[in-house]
Amino acid sequence: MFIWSCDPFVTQFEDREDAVHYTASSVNIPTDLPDSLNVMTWNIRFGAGRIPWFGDSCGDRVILSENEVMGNLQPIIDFINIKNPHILLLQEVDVSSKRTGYLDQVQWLLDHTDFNYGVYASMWKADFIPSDGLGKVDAGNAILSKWPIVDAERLQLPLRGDQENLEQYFYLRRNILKSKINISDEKELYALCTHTTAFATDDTKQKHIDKFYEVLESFGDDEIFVAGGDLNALTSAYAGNERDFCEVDRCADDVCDDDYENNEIYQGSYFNHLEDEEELLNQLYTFPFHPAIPLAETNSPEHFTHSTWITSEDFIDSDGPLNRKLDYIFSSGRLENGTTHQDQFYLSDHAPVSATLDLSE
Amino acid sequence: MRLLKLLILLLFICIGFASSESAHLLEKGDREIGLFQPLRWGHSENIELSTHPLLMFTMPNLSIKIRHEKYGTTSRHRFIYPTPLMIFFQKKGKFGLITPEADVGEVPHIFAFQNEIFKSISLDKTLLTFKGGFSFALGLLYEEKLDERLSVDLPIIYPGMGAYFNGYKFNLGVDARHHFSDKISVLLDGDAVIIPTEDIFLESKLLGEYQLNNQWGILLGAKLTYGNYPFGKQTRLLPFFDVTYRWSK
Repeated sequence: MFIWSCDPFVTQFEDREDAVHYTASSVNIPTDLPDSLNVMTWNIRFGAGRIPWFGDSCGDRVILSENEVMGNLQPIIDFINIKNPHILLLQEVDVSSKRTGYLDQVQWLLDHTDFNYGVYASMWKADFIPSDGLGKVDAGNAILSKWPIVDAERLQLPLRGDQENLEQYFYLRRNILKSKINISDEKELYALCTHTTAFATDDTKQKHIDKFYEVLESFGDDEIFVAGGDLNALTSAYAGNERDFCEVDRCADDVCDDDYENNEIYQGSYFNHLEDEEELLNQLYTFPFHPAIPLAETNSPEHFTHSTWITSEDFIDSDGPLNRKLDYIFSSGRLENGTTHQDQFYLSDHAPVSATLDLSE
Repeated sequence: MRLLKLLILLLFICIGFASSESAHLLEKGDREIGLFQPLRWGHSENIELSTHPLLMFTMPNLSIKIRHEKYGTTSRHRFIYPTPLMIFFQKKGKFGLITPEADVGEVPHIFAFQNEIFKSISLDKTLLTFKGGFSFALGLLYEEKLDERLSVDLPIIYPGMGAYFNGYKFNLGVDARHHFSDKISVLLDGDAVIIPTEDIFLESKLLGEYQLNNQWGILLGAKLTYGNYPFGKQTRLLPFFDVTYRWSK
């Protein structure tokens, strides 16, 4: 009994596990088979909006108030309900975290939108993080769908290899969430969502992207998939001298000293840690995969999806703009109407990206 | 420093593991201490005092247990001032159990009082003890109510802090200690912590105690906890190990 009772505070995962399934409080499945499928990806930053959270935006905020969380989630669902995608790929969704008042955001989003089903895979699950007052955390990736999700699994990605054991134990366990959605008796498709490492300075990012590619490549020619998420990586459209964001990301006490290995500011703001990192995403931009935004346009300001921090919590005109593209959608079929919704600047530190898949082919 | 913080944290958690929950008092002059158990000493025939000495510096605490011979019962009255300990763990970085951010504010002065009554019955080799208690906390400088973000949402600690946030709580319990021999005994108990604005928290522990000699003893066991925490219901089994030392003056 003594041995049994030594249950760890941090949840660790098998390489493959079933995802957690959700159903909306009210289910209303579309009866007509659409000619095209609208898909959107969005890192919603657990409803923190642009609040300067301590971990990634030069802030000191840790535990948000209920008013703050609801004040950010409400406009998120307003936007989702206007755009009304069929499938939504979400990253950084909290389902039971002290920082967001333990709100199950997957269930809440299902109950306040036209989605009927959801699946969830934890990226960070611990009964207690003994640091900065964080406490309990359960955050991860989710896929929401109008149609039933018949099968879903959580595929574990490698842990960061550049951390000490204790730090790694309490740190994130990133994953690919893979789901199979029944649009009709005759038609089914796969939806995949991932959030790859942001701060690793070793080859962890390479492993994550390679695994994502490997999963997409494993689909047969007759299988349809839409896949996306926050890849925390730049395409080859960003030249070598455009891959250092230290000056725009740095906080007041950070110094950009070109010490890419030891200076922590470079962990998330430098995109050249790997050898040939420019080519990291090339495999995903290779046929037969189809991107929502063409490779050549990924370094265009109108398709930037991320910036780290704002000058204050007040809405100031000088905030922004978004300055890099980290969020992507790919599919087995041709995607049209690829759009980056930059007008949602204050709802998250990432902009949603959407596209349409032609199902008539 | 890191080791000291870890030790204080473990002590904080282990307050709820106390193995001495009967109506019996230590003999006058007898003293007992454990790694995680409080220092107890028999002050007189009818009074036993106890405190966690290491926690004393960060969480001043003192208990007095009084035998009421007329009624065949014992009462225990405990005072705890948790504010310094909570401030100790209200910090950025590692061991920051409580958020330090500005809008939550610093932990205010909290004075907690626990009052319990015990009745023990001997049944051959088994000692059966019934207990009931009432705790309340007085907070100075609470503006309205203690900010719930200051809570530590962990088993044992959360119900232990219940009175700080709610103002008061009740507890009921029953213990059974069976002596297999002079050296070996087993304690099985069940406790309910009732926080009026919340759910009931249930705890049960099973501890084996082995007396190596008249002075040294070893405790090994586990505690099963169940409660409806701010994030929902949770059941957990927690390990417990301790070494006790007893001596007479």
